[in-house]
Amino acid sequence: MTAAPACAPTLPRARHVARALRCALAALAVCLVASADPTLDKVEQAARLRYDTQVVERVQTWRAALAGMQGKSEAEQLRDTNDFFNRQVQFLDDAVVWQQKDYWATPLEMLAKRAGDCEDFVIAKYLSLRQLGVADEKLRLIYVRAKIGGEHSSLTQAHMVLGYYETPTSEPRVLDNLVGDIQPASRRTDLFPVFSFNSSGLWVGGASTASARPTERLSRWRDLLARLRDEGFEQ
Amino acid sequence: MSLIKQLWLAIVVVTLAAFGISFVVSTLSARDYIQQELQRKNIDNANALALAMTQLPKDPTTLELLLAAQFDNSHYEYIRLTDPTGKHTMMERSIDTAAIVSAAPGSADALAPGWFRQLVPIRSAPAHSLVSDGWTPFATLSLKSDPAFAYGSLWHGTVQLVGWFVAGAVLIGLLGTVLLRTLLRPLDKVVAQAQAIGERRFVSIEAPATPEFAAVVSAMNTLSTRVRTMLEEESARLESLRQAAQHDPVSGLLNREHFLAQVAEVLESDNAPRHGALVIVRLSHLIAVNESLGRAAADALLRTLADNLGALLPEDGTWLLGRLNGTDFALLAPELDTPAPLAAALAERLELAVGNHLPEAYRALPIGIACYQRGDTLPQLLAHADVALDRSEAQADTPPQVEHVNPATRPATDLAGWRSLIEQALDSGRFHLAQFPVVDRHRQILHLETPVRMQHPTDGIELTAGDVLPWATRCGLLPRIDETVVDQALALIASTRTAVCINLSTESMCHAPTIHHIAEQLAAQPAAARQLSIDLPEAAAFRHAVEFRALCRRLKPLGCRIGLEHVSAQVCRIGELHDVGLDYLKISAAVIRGIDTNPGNQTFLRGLATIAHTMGMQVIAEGVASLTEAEQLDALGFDGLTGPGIRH
Repeated sequence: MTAAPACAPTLPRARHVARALRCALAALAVCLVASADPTLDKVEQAARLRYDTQVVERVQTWRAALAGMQGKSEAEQLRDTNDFFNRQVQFLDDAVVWQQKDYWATPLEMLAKRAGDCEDFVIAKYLSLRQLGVADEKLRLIYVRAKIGGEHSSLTQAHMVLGYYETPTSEPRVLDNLVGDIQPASRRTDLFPVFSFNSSGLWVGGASTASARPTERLSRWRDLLARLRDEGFEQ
Repeated sequence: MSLIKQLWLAIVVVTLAAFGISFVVSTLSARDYIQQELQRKNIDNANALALAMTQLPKDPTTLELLLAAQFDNSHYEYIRLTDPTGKHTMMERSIDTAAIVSAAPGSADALAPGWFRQLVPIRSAPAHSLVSDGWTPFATLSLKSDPAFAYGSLWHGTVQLVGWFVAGAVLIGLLGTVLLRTLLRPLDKVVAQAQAIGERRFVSIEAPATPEFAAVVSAMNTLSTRVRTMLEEESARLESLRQAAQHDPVSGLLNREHFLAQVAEVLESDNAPRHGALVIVRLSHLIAVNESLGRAAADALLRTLADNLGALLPEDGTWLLGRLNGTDFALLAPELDTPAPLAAALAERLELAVGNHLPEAYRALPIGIACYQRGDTLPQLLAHADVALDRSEAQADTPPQVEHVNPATRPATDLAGWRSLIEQALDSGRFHLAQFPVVDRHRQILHLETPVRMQHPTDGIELTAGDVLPWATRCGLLPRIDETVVDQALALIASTRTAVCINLSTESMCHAPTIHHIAEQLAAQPAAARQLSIDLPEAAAFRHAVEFRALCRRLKPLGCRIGLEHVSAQVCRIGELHDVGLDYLKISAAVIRGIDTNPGNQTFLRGLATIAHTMGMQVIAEGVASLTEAEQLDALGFDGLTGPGIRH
């Protein structure tokens, strides 16, 4: 990965980001799992209204890819999803793509720009896998400290990857936008995990609607959730 | 239910409703907010603690310390570490939930009572976060905040809300009460007027500013005015009847029949002065004057004579003037001690006014005077007067002649003597009440009339009110006698359980301390007060109308009955009393005497009874002498009778 300010938050901001991101992702996940096809229909519909035909084609490609992965094993779904976004989307800093220091793009926005930073990749992969029916407890978004410049370099960077846990206690497999193939975490000596989360920490006992309200008070993520809703992620 | 009570009820209902709504809106929304905040706190703290644990070594001591440090210094219901599968609890810190309810008074826990916690439960879901050991999940951290402080804050807010509502309701209630009282104040007057009309006191009042009340008052004023006009018309008709029945048409003086009835009454009445004089003036040559000067001149002469006699009468109306026959005019002067000065003044005045306008031959105006003691009979008195008159007529140009029916015997002769006599009697308790029954149509007792009697301290002679009261008035001892009378009357009521009637003189009525004493006694004995009637002389009501009305206003509310006694000459004015609310009229014996044979007075009294009943008054006849008179009075509509002819 290249040095990207948006991906190198200071620690307090990282916490803030993590919380907000988790809320947003959880909301999306719930929506997507609830009813797959109508959700994607709406996303496509939103693409038609807002963007040119190229973007619509990209969304259709994404849908087609997801459709192609239906019925495959989870290992194959992981690989295909990882490959799809790593190939389709260019890794760029938020400042370049959105002219903002921090911007959490929706999958549609990322596809429209064809560019995104590490969080955008993780969000898109997480949502896609949830869409395919992968259990939420098997997926965790992981803040990692990445050594850049080789095994023995002391230069580190804040980064985010998606972890897949076969069982609650097993070692995760890492979906990274900088590395093409999915490796077990122990092989990734360049990454040092700091904290992981998924939406299950937020939603306990089905109290999703009540818990969703406090997140909406965060202006940054209300904005994101509003955009997701506009694009049809919320039914 | 009174309007004020209804207002308070409405305020209580509205306040309760408003409180219910406020409670739902404020307390429940606060509860929702608190729940959300607790939830966020749970999530944030779980994440922060899990993040810290992820960074630290995973040995049990470090974890235990971290857990304890967080738990002991913050407000949690529990913090728990479970293995990633969620099956085994690795470590836990929690407060005993039972301890919350039984917490010591004064602590935050004690602020919210248990029932409040059950009424408005605060439910915050626990938060979970994953603690990792490197890449591997190590444990799930669960924690839940202790809601005791949230309950305390919610309870405090609710108590404040209740306080504000109660304070608001009380304030609004008080303001409303004041406002309502102000609005309804005119209504009190309207009600008072309606009650007065209900008691047949036909009062008019000023219309209040409130239009609704003004309409009612105006209608009732119209009613009062109509009734008053009707009463005044009836009174005027009655007066013409009385005039026709009792007066001489030419001179306007009392006719013989009525004058003599009055004289007889004065001679017999306890209340009349002990002695007095009857003066008779004779126009000896009336027939000759009539023949020579004509009837018109003769009538004018008669009227001049009557006017000049009238001019000599004192203002208080105690003297009587009448025409006994064509030529004889009579003047009764009760209480007149020495008639000589009066006789001289009379002779001089009549000579100037009448004699000088007559031909020399017709000028003779003989005057005869008879002095009497109470108890003398009318024929005796008339006979003595005739003797004196004959003597005067026989000796022309002599001073008026005086005859005495009986030589006077007097208990005392001067003011100082009377003063010591009365004081002595008062001190030794020699005043007592005589008792005469007043009966209704069925001859059942209405009440007992109780004229005061004074026993002479030394010789035991019984003196009547007429003997004593004029002197007592002059000595200033009347108030003491009145107080004795009231006290004895109330005691009599208490002992006999019979209604009692006392006489009150005009002087007493105008004497404020006496009235005050009576009012105090009546207020102190309300049961006896309802059995007490107070008689006032007819003249008191009309000559001292202000004091009379003040007396009625003061004493009537205390339960006693007030009426007029010896009603006769002023009867035409009873219409003036339309707004006083008198209870009865006692018609003078002078009018009652011989009623069974006097058609003129029968017509007059029938009319009087009708008017009195219209005004809500009973009519009682005084001095009923015979059964036939009693039957005639029953037929005329009288409600009560008293007198020597009444046998109970």
